[in-house]
Amino acid sequence: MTDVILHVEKLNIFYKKNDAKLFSKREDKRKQVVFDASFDIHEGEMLGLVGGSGCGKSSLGKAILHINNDIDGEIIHYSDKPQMIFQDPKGSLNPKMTVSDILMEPLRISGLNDKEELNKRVSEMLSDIGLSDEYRDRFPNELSGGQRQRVCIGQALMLKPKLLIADEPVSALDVTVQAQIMRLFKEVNKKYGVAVLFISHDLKVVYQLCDNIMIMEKGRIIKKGTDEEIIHSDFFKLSYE
Amino acid sequence: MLDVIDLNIEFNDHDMAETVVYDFDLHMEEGEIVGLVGESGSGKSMSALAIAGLLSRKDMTKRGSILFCNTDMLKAPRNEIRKVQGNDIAMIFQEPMSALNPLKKIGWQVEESLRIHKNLSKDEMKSLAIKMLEEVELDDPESIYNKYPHELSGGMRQRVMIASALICEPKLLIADEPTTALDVNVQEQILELLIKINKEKGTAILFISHDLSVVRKLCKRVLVMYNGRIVEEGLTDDVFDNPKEEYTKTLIKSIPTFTKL
Amino acid sequence: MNKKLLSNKKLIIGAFLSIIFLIIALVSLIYTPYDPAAMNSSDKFAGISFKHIMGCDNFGRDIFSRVMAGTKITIFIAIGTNIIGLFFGIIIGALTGYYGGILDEILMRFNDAVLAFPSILLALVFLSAFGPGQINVMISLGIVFVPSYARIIRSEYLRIKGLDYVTSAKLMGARNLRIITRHILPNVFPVIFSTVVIGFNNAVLAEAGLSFLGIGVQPPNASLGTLLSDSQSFVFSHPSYTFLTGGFMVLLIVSFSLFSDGFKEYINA
Repeated sequence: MTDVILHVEKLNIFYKKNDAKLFSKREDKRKQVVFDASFDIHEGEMLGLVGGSGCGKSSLGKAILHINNDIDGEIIHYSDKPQMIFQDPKGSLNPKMTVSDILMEPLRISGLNDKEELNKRVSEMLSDIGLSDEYRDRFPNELSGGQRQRVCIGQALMLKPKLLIADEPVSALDVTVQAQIMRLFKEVNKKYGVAVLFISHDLKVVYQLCDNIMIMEKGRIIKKGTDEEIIHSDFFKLSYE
Repeated sequence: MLDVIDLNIEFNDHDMAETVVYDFDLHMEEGEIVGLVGESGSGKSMSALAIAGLLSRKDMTKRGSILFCNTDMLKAPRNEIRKVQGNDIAMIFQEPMSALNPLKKIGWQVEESLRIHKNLSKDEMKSLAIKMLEEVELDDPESIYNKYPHELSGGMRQRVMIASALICEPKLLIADEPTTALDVNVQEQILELLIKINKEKGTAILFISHDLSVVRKLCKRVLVMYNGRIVEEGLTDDVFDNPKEEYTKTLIKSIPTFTKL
Repeated sequence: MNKKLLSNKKLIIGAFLSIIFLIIALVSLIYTPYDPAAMNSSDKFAGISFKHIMGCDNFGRDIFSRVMAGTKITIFIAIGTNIIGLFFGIIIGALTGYYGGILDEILMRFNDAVLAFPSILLALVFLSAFGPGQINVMISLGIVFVPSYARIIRSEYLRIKGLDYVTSAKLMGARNLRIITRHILPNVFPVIFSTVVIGFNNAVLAEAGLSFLGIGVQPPNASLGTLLSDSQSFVFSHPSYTFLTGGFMVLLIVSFSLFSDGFKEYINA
C-alpha cells in the first residue's frame, strides 16, 4: 500500500443555523449533516464518493479542507495545500482575471514573481489541460463550460498538490464535454500523481474513473470498497437493476 | 396536431444577427412522445419556447410556421395564444424551485391554470387540484395542498409542477430537462410518472434533454440537434443502434456506462 | 466595437457635455472673461450682450465668469466628497463584509443610526461644527456619504466572499488582504461605479443646498449653489440671472447622468 495522505476519523459535521449577533441570543440550532465518517486517501488514489442530493457528500468534501468549520473528529493531512474543484465552473473563476492571471495566481501567492518563469509554467499547464496558448488572455466569460473547468483544474494543479477534491466537477457540463473532462482527470492523475476525491451523484461516472468507491446515504458512509466490489454488491443490485 | 415547418430563430441584439435555430421541422401526432436531444446552446430550448408561444422578444426574428391545432403560435395575436397556453400546451422546466412561486401555497399554484381558463367554483377547483396531486403520486395530497414549495423535496416539487401543468388536461406537454436537477432514483420515478400520464390521458409529450439515456427510456421517436440544426431524427432504437451522423455517434459514446475509462 | 460606441447616443452626448463642463472648470483656473469677484457699479444688472454673455448681477459682476468659477468649485466639491465617501466606504464595507462578526454588527448598527438622519441635516450639523468654507463642505458631505457607500460595498463583499473562486484563493493560501484587494475588489467596481455616479449628482445637489442656506461656500468664492442663492432675490425683477445659473446646474447634472447611463450600457452590452 502506498502512503496515506489524508486520514479522516469519526468526522461529524454540523450545519450552523445562526451566526453571532450583537443583540440576539446565540441560539444553538445545530443540525448534523455527516455522522462518523472515517476513511483514508492514499497517494495517487482515485476515490469516488457517491450519494443523492442532501446526503452530506459536499459538506464532507468541504469539511476536509476546513471550509466548513463546525466539525468534530479527526482530519489529518499528510500533504500541503490540497485543492478543490467545484461544480459550477462559472463561479469558480474570477471574472476579472485572464486565464494566465488565474493560472499564475497560486504561484504568485506562494511568492514566485519571476515573469519568465511564471509564463513558462502557464504555458506548460495550458498544454497539460489541453488548451492552446491563445487562451492566455481570455477572460472566463469568453470560455465554454468545459474550457472553464479545464482552467479550474489547471489552477488547482499549479502548486502540484497531492490531493484534489472534486465536488461534482462534471455535473454542470454537457455529456460530450463530461467525457472529455473525465479523461482529463485520469490524465492528470497519472501525470501529476495527484490523489482525487471525486464526488458525484452518478455512480456510473464514478465507476468509470475511480479505483475505490464510497457510498453515502443520509449523512453516513454506508458502503466502502473497490470499484468491482461495489458494483457486485447487493446495494448495487438494489439501486441500479 | 403539431406541425412546425421551417422554423428559424434569429437574435438581433448584438451588432450582427445570430441565428440560433435553422430550418427546424417537427410533426407530432396526438399522444406521441418525442425526444429532442442536444447540448446546451444547440437551440433545443429556444425551439421549445417558440412552440409554446413564449418567444415574444422584439430583438428576435422568427420565420416559418408553428401550427398547433390550427393556431399559428408565431403569428396569432397574443390573445389567441393565451387561450392555448396552459390550456392546450403546458410546459415544465428544469428548476422546480424557481418555477414555483415561493410565496404561494401549492394548491393555489396547481389551480392557477383553472382560474385563468375555466370558470369553476372554489370547491370544484380544490377537488380537481387534489385529484391531480393524487394522480402525480404525491402522498397525502390534502396536506400538500396547503404547503409551501420550500417544504417539499426536489422530486416532490417537480411532481407539483407536473400536476399544475396537467390540470387543464393539455394536448401537449413540453418538458424542458425536467429530470436534470434530480437524483438518479428520483429521475426514474418522474420518468415513470410521465409514461403513466401519457398512457392514461393521452397527453403528447415533447421531452427535451441532453441526456440520451433518459430519452431512450421514454421516447419512441427522437430528434438530435446540434448548432441550431436537426442533424438526425428517427425511431429512438434505430438512432441508438445505427447512428448515421458523426455527432450522434459521439453523443452516444459519451453516455456514462459501467465501463472503465 | 466602434459601432457599439457610436450607436450609443447617451454616451456620446453625455461625454461631450461632461467634457465641456470639465473644460469650463479647468479653464476658469487660469482664465475668466472678467474677475468673478470684481464689482462694477456701472454694469449693475447689465443685460445679455456680447460684452457680458450672461449679463451682470446686482454688484455688476460678470455672471458668466462667476458661473465658470462656480462650476469649478462645485465639481471640485463633488469629486472630493466622493473620494472621501468612497475611501472610507470601501475600507469599512470591505472589512465588515469580509470578516463579518461583532465588528460588522457594531459598525453596521452605527451605520444605520447615521443613515436614519436626513443627510442634509447631518451635513448641517458637521458644518456648524467645522465652520463654513468649501473644504469643510467637502469633508462634511464626505462623512455623510460614507455609510451608504459602506453598506453597498459591504453587501457586495458579503456576496462575493461566498463564491467558489474566493474559496479557491483561500485554499491556495492567499492572505486575507490579498483576497480583499485582488480577488474581490475588482469585482465590486461595477457596483462602485454606478454608486459614484449617483453620488456625484447627489453631492452637486447637496452642496447647492448648503450654499443656498448660506453656510456652504463663502464669498468671495462662489459655487453654483451660492449663485443660485444670490439670484433668488431677483427672480422676478431679473429672471435671466436665476434661470441661467439654475439651468447651468441642471445641465451639469443631466450631462453627467447621461454619460454614466451610456457608459453603463456600453460596458454591459
